[in-house]
Amino acid sequence: MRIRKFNESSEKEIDSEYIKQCFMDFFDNGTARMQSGSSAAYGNWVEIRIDTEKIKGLKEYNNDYERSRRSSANWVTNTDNISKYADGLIKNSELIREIEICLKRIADEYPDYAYKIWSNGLNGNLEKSDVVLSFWP
Amino acid sequence: MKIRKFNEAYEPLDIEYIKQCFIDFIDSGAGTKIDGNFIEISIELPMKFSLAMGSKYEYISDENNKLEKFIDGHEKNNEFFKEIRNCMAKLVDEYPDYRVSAQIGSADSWSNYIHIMILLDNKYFK
Repeated sequence: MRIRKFNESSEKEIDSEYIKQCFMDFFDNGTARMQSGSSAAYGNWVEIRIDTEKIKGLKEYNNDYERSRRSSANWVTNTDNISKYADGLIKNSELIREIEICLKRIADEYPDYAYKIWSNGLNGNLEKSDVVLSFWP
Repeated sequence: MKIRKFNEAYEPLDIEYIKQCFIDFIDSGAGTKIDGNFIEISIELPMKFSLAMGSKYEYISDENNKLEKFIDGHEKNNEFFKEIRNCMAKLVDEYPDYRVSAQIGSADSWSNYIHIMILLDNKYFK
């Protein structure tokens, strides 16, 4: 664990190599990308993007019986769709579990690092989706 | 398995059997809407389920709001989806000519619901 000393420079550095190392499995299988920079709000930062499972989404509910009735010719009972959908959601849960392990490694070494996580598609329906993790000291 | 014969008389949806397939959800408060030969079962998921349509990113976690809580909710939803899949499979085994669709609510008021729509084949509508 590395804790900043009292008289250490206030210019906080971020150990981007260590962070990358923690997510190395994702980089090795080609699903992760990293960028870094600095800003007035966060100082030095590192961002990692990890692709999520591509899940074919379920239809959106329209709360319109007549519309459902008209479109029902295309339903053809989507038990198979919901099976694939459920399997896709489970794969994304596993991915988040792996990310959690990576975060614990970082927290063990750098307990002062802050982070935020976003995603645009853990529940499917997008052609391309990912999880975004931002770190700063 | 009940398959309608060519010259068999028109029969309505077997509402009782459908309800039986989803009985655990209905007992737990799932709503049902019946309209002639159409039934809709609305099941509330344990965790708010965002479709996150388009390119909108949604916050999941930070160092103060641990990922564990989010994962638990996500996995509870997964269990619901698996159970719903089993209920639908049971129904379709018995009535293969029913049209069944699982739909996800996208509007705010329905964003944590999954809706199972069951309808007789259109050709039986009068």
